Amino acid sequence: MNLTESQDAVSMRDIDYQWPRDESFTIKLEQLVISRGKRVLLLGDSGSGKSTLLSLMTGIISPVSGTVQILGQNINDLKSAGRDRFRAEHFGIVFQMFNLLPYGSVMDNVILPLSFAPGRKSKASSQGGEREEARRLLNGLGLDKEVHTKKSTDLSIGQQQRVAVARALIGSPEIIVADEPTSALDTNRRHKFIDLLFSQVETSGATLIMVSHDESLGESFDQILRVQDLLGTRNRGEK
Amino acid sequence: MVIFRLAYQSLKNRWITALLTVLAISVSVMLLLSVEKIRSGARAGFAGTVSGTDLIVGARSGSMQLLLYSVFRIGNPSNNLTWRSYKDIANRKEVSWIVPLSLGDSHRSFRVLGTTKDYFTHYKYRSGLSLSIARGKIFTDLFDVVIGADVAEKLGYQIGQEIIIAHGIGSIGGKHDKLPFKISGILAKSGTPVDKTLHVSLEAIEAIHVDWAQGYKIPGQNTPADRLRKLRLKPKAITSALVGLQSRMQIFGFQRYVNEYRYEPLSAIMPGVALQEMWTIIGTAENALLVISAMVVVTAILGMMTMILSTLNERRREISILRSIGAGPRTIILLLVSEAVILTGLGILLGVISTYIMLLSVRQIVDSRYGLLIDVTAPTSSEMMVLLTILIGGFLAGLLPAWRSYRLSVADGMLVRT
Repeated sequence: MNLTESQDAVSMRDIDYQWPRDESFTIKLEQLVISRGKRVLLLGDSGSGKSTLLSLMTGIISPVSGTVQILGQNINDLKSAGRDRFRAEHFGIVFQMFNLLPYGSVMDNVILPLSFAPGRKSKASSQGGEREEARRLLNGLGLDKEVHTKKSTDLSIGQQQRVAVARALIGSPEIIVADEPTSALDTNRRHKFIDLLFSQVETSGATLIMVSHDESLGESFDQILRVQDLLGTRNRGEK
Repeated sequence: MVIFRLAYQSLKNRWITALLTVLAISVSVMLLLSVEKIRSGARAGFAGTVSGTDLIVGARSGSMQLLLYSVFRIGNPSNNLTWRSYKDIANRKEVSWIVPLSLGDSHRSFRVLGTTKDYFTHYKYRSGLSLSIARGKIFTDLFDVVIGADVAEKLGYQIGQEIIIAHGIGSIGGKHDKLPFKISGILAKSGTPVDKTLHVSLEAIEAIHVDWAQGYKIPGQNTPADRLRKLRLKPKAITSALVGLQSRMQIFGFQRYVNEYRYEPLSAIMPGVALQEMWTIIGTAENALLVISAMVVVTAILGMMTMILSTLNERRREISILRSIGAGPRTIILLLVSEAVILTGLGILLGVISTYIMLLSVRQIVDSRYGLLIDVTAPTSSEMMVLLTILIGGFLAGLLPAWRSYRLSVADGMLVRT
C-alpha cells in the first residue's frame, strides 16, 4: 500500500506489549484507528500506559505481536534504523516539558530534525529555505525575531513549548504527537497555546494526536478516546 | 556533519568538566612522553659513558666488575695489572693508544685517578666528545690535580686551592697529609663519572706512596715534595688501561691475546658490550617507570569514562529528545563515542605540545646539571603508535557510556526524563 493512499494516519491492531525485564507489566490493545487530518485527544491519567502507547505508535518500542500501521506503512516491518528514519520523516513530537536541547539556539533546535529527515528537509527548503521556514513557524507561534537567536535555556517554559511545536511542524510531517504539552503551563496560557497549536496544525494539514489528562480540553477535538478503554493493562504504575 | 556539531555544542555546554578531562589526559600523555624521552636520553647517555675506547684491560675478572671500577669508579679491583704487562701490551703493534688508570686513593669520598695526559684526549663520551677544561689547565707539576665538575661544585673548590688526598677509599686509611696537591684545572660537566673524579698523574700516585709499604705509612719516613719531584718514579702496577686499536677489525684478535696473556691472568672487555649488559640489569627500573606512566594514562581515560557516564543522567533527556526526532541508536552511540574521541584527541594534542614546550625549556638545564642530553626530535614511530593506542583507548572508553545511554534511551521510550 502506498503511503499517500491510506486514509488512516494510525492503525494499530491486536497489540501485545511486554516490558523487557518486567514480564508482569503488559499492555494489550485491540484496535486504535485515527484518520488523516483529524484532531484526536487521548485522555488518560498518568500510569494509564499512554506513554507506552505513544512509544509503540512512533516505533520507539516494538510490540510482541500485532500490527502498527502508520500512513499505511507497517512500521514493525522496518528495521530499527528504518523506524527511526520513518519517525523522523512522518512524526513531529512535542513533550510535556524539556523539549529543547539545552545547548544551541532556538533556531538550531527548530531545524534539528531536518538533519534526520531528508524528506522534510527538502520540503522545508522548497518553502523558502530551512531557516526561513523556521522563522515563519516561530512567528506564527508568537515568538519574535529576537527570541530566535536566544539560547533555549533562556526561554520561559511557555516559550519553550512553542519552540517545540515549531520543531514538530517544520518540514510538514503528516502526524503531530503532543504528549501533555500544556501540563507545565498555567490555565490561561493553556488555551492560548492550544489555539496556536491548532491554527498551525491546520495550516500544515497534519493529523494531531494529543495526550492529556485534562478533560476540559476535549471540546476542540474531533475525536476523544480514553486510554483506559483502549488498553487492557495490568500495570504497576508508569515508569 | 551535524553529529560532530552536536557533540561539540554539548561539550561546550559542559566546558569545565570537559576542560578538566582534557587536562587530565594531556598531563598523562605528557608524563608518558617525557618519561619516554628521558628514558632514551638516559639510555643514550649511559651507553655514551665511554666511547672511542676499543678495549678495557685489567686483571682477570668479570666484565661487569672491570667496567664498574675502571669507568664508573664503583667497587674495587680484585687484582692489579703489573707495569710489565702494561708495557708489553702498550708495545703491541695493533695498539694505537693506551691510557693507564690507577685507582685506590680518594678525596672526601671522591675517587682519585692516576693517569697520563693522554686520558684527556683519548677518553671520549657520548658520540666522540672529548673532556674539556672549564677553568685552569691540565696537570703539569707532580702535585697538580685536575678535578671533575661535580667535585668542584660539591666541595666549592677553586683553582690554586690545596687539597689532601687520603689513602684508600673511605676515611679509615691514613692521609697523604704531608703532600698537598694544588688544583690546576676544573673540567667541564660531562654527565659521566669523570665529573666525580680527581685526576693526578701516574707519577703522583707513586710519589705519595714512596713512604708507604704494604698499605701502611712507614713511621718517621717523610720524603719531601722537592726530592720526590727529582726522583724517576715508575709504577709497579696499575689498575687497568683503556686501549684504542689501529683498526676495529683487530678487536677480537687482540681481546683473545690479552685474555690468553702468558705471564699474568688478564681480561679485556669491550665497553659497549659490557654497558649493554649492564643496561639490561638497571633497565628494569626504566620499564617500571614506563609501566607507571602507562597506568597514569589508563587512569586519565577511566576518569574521562567516569565523566561521560556521570553526565549521562543529565543527558538522558537530551538523548530522549534526539531519539524522538529520529536520531537512531547509531547516531546516539556516535555522539558519545565522538565526544570521547574528541576529548582524548584534544588531550593528546595538548599533551604533545606541552611536552615539547617543557622539554625545550628544561633541556639546557638538564644537560648542564645532570649531564643528560634529551633529544628533542619529532615523535618517533613507536611514540606515534603509543599516541594512537591512547586514542583507540579513548574510543573504546566511549563505547561503554554510549552503549549504556542507548540502553537507557530504549528503556525510556517516549518518556522524557526530568
